[in-house]
Order: sequence, then structure tokens, then C-alpha cells
Amino acid sequence: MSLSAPIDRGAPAPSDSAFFRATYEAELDYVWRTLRRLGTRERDLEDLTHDVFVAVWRTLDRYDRERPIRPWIFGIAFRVVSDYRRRARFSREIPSDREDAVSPGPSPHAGAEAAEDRALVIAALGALPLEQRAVFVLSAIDGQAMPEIAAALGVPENTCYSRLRLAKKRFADAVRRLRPSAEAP
Amino acid sequence: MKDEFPADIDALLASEREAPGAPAAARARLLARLDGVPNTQAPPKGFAGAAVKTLAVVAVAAGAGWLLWPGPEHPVPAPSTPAAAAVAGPAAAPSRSPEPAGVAALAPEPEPAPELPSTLDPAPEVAVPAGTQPLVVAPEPAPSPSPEAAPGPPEPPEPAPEPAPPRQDLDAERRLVDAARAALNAGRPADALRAVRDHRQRFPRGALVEERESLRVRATASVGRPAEAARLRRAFLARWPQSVYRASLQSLPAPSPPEPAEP
Repeated sequence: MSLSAPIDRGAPAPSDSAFFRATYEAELDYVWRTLRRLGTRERDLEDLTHDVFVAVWRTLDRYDRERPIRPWIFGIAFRVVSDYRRRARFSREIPSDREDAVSPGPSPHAGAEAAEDRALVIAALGALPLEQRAVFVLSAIDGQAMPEIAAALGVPENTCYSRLRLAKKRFADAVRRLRPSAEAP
Repeated sequence: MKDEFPADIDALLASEREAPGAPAAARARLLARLDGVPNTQAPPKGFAGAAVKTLAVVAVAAGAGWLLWPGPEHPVPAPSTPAAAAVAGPAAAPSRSPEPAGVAALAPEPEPAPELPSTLDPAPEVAVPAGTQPLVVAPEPAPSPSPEAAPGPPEPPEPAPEPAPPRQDLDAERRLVDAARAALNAGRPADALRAVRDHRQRFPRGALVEERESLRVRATASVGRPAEAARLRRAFLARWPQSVYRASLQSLPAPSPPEPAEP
């Protein structure tokens, strides 16, 4: 199955349960990565992944299967994270993007550099407001087209273009600021 | 878009695209929870039922009432705040409600109800034409007592919640339900009903009951028993009022009145 293409129900069409299961199996890692990119703490990733698939199930009958599924799932993940951050803010426990940045996962030897790069990306993403971050992730990392991004986030395309422009500048600035300088004494 | 970045940032983003997904342990836990195996106290109601319900209750308890949001494909204006999102859903259920309608709808919990009204259970057997395709399923070590084996007396109420089925049971259940669906879609509703009956005998309270019963309604209609199909459909919709199969079942033709009593 092409991960960014619509999941073909085929003929005969599988049931919604089967479709949901296939979606879960195909997109679990995507949801996990997306939640992390949107600023979820490592320790909350599992629960929020849960929440995303609850919402996927709840709204599955409204998913337009002619469209790619990932932007649709991303839109759900975006709202999960919005709510998560709001709750964290209310409890004065604001998620720290830097916290994620120091836990990039297993990275022995050869993978260490890649892990550091990924940690830097997560940290730099943390410099972006969530709305800009969402557009940036969908565009620059997921490679989605702007119409899909706009549909996923429920905002006009022009707004997405504007957010993306700002996000790219902020991201690049954050990378320069956060990257360990080789010339540093 | 990406080519507008300097090469070093492009390289960073390329690295992030290869980021690992869920660790194996988390993956196993998530799958187990979605399959309703461990740590769910609700009786198994299927992938679409207990597991998701359990998660939904957790999500709503955590204040995620926006889960009722209909999804980004719909012309719902993007809420400016998460609080607004909570009421932007189609049901407009208040997110602070202790049991939002959408959550109840997500997985109805008809605990006291029997699997289906007992009067419907001893479904008349369908004459299976000779030469029909056998339904190959994994043998079950200990089949449950058949609810259809005891005609006449009403079905006893379902026992208290039991542990969720092990993985191999889910696989066997899935094969039976898939066989039923395949037979139905291939125009062999009698075979579909046979698979449904098999599932009901082996897994009277299985994880895929909802899906099985939806197939039962459709197959019953397809073999030319519209009145019975209508009764089954009513029972189904009463038990799973927000089922994802609702639309397909409601599109079934209504039985033409009056119909003679079935044998």
C-alpha cells in the first residue's frame, strides 16, 4: 500500500473495521512521528497515538477515500496535540520541545549523527508556533501539496502559504542557533 | 518547497524523514489495547468496540471532547481555539459532559442486553446447495456451546464480562468473518450465513460480533427473508446505534408487507 495514497477499499470493499485495522497498521509509525514533530513529549507519545486512532475510528465514515489518508490523519493528530498542549498549559506543565530533543532514541555509533540531526530538527521545530509547525511538517517533511495541507488543517491555502513562509525562516534561524558550532572554541 | 532550503537544512529534514516510528514495546502495547486484549476491563466488543471505547473514555476523561470533530475533510471552520474545536463537532456535544454522546456512540455498551433478542436467535437454517464452497477456518480447540443448538427456550443472559480473547481467537474470528463477507460479496449468501452461524457458535461473545451481525443482516436479506432481516436490523441498530455499518444496513430494502411467517 502506498502510504500517502488513498487506501483502496478494493472490490469487494473490506469492512470499515478492516479498513481501520489496515490504516492502523500502515500509519502507526507515521502518527508516532507526527506527534513527536508537533511537540509531544516522549512519555506522552503512546497515549496520544491512542487518542489519534480513537478519533480516526470515530470519524472514519467521514473520511473521503478518494483523498490521501495521511493529511487527514495529520489533521486529527494536529487537533490531538492542540488539545494536549492546552491541557498542559492549564496545568502549567508546558511540553518542552528541548526535552524531546535530548531523547532521539537508540543511536549507537553510525546512527549517532543521524539521531543528533533528528534531535536538532525536533528542537528547531519547537521554535515554531504550532500552526506554523503543522504546515511546515506537512510540506517540508511529509511533502504534501498545499491543497491537501489546507484541507487537512481546515484553513485557506493562502494562510498555509503564509504560515509556511514564516515557518521556514524561523526553522532555519532556529537550526543555526541550536546547531553546535564547529568553530566554537 | 524543499529545494528552497540550504543543503544543510535539506539534509536535516531528510534525516528526520527517516526517523524511527513507535518502539516495539509501545507498538505491542498499542496493538494489544486496540485489540482489546490486556488492560481493558470491558468485555470484548471487537476492534471497533471495546478497545476503541476504552481508549475513548480515557481520551474524553482527559478532556479531549474535540474527538467529536468531524474531520478535516469537512467544511468545518478551523476552530481558533481548542475549546472551540470541542464544540465544532457534528454532534455539538459539550466536551465537558461526563459521557459525551459521541463517546457512547463510539462503542455502545449494551451490557445487560443479550447478544440479540432470543426470538431471533434460532435463525432458520438456510438450505445450502450441494457443492457450495466449504469455508476453511482454523479449527477451534474448544467450541463454545451453540446458542442455536437449543431451540425454544430463551437465551440466558450473557455472563459477566470475561477476559478478552487471545490473539489466535481473534485470528480465527477474523477468518470466519472474512469468509462470510467474501461469500456474501460473491453472491453466496447461504454460505455467508453458514459462516456467520459458525462464528456465533464458536464466538458468541467474540470480538467481531458487531461486524458479524451486520453481515448476518445483509445475508439474511439476500437469501430472501426480508422480514427476518428487518428484525435483525432493528436489533442491530438498537444495540449499535452509531455503528459504522448503520448506513449500509439502512440502505437495505424494506420488507414488503405482509409476509408469511417463516418456518
